[in-house]
Amino acid sequence: MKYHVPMPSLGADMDQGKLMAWKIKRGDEVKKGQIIATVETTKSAVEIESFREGKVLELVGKEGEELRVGSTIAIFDVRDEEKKTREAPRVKISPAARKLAAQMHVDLSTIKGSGSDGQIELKDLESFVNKGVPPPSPTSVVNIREAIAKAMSRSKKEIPHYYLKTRISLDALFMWMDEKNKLLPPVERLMVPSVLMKGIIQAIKKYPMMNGYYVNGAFEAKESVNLGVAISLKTGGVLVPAIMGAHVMDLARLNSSFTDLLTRARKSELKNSELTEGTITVTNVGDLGSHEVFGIIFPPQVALIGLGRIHKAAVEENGLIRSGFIIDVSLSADHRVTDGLLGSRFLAQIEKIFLNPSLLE
Amino acid sequence: MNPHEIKLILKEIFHEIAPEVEFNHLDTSLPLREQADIDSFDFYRIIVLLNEKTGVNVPDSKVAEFKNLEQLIMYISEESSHLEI
Repeated sequence: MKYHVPMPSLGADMDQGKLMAWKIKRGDEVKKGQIIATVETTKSAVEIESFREGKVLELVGKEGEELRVGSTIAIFDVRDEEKKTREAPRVKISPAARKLAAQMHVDLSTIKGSGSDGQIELKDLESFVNKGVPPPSPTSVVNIREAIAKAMSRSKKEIPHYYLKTRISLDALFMWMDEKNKLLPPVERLMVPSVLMKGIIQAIKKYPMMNGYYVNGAFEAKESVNLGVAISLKTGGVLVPAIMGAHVMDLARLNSSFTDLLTRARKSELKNSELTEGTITVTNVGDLGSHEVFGIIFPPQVALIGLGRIHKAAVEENGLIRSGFIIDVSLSADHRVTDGLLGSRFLAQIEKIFLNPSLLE
Repeated sequence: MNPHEIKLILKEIFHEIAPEVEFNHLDTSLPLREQADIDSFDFYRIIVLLNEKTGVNVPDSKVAEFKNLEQLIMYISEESSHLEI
């Protein structure tokens, strides 16, 4: 069967994209998840992954061409993929759900049916599709400012935010990092934000209510931590790509994944999944920013952690005042999912880790 | 290493990381970020390359305190003299 590959929508209000370059050619066998093309929006280029498996019959879109979202950019032969699907155990599904599933190209094996004998009903599919639809990303869109405005307005309108902040001394963490970096080859030097993110990920593991999506009136915790990181582009605008699967990374890998993400964001080599599948976000104002930042949650996520500028301030220790490095860490969270008590405990856990950096190992 | 040698190394590093910056036009006694479009990731890469080229590892607690390139150059110069001994 022929499958018409559509120009994907990479966020709110994107109605067209410029096909910059093909990464495949006629006759290639394409795997699911393989990068097939680069598409340019006003602020950034995004690598497009294939959602189907098949042989490339035709590249319809020409490099440099502007194409509307949904229009065909290529045609694949997906016969082998269909054969595999046919060989798979038959899934119980209602006719209405089957019709919608075919239209949406949904992999039925990933859906749990709520009908008798586990039959997949239309409502199961609708709920699955709603969850799977990428949130309106404030990034990588034709008009980035307009898109940010829309997504953030939606967030503020729909999500009852609450905000907490805690001030944490970083002297112990800096000392620990200095010792580590002395021993590491320069190219593997740990970055301060990577170390802070590692601590945050560990705290998320203890407080899973902070990581996931609020959809259809219910919270759905996500096992995988795809850590969204707000990155300011020198050309203007902000991208929020995610470090995918950050929960299984050790510090060295998290550090290299973060530097890789920053490098690719600058070179416009981000993948669409990285821009749309974050489960929680960290915003770091950097070394020239303000002392505190209280972010707006990206729906359907339920929490955002803000890292203010690290600076020197008076620190009280054992009844004495001394000068030390501090950071203000904030939490913006969704009151439909958590409350201030849990949020405070979550921040206290982050503080505990920053004050005892050996816990990062 | 004397400050002049370190400045030459820095010039090479800037050419690699921020080729748009005219290094000779920078006033090393003024805050770097007010004169050039260098963000914290660029600065991290500068520190990494300086370490590779001079052998001096600059701790983050020091990085956070430098007000300008001059202070960074002086720090590297001083630390490299310990290495040479």
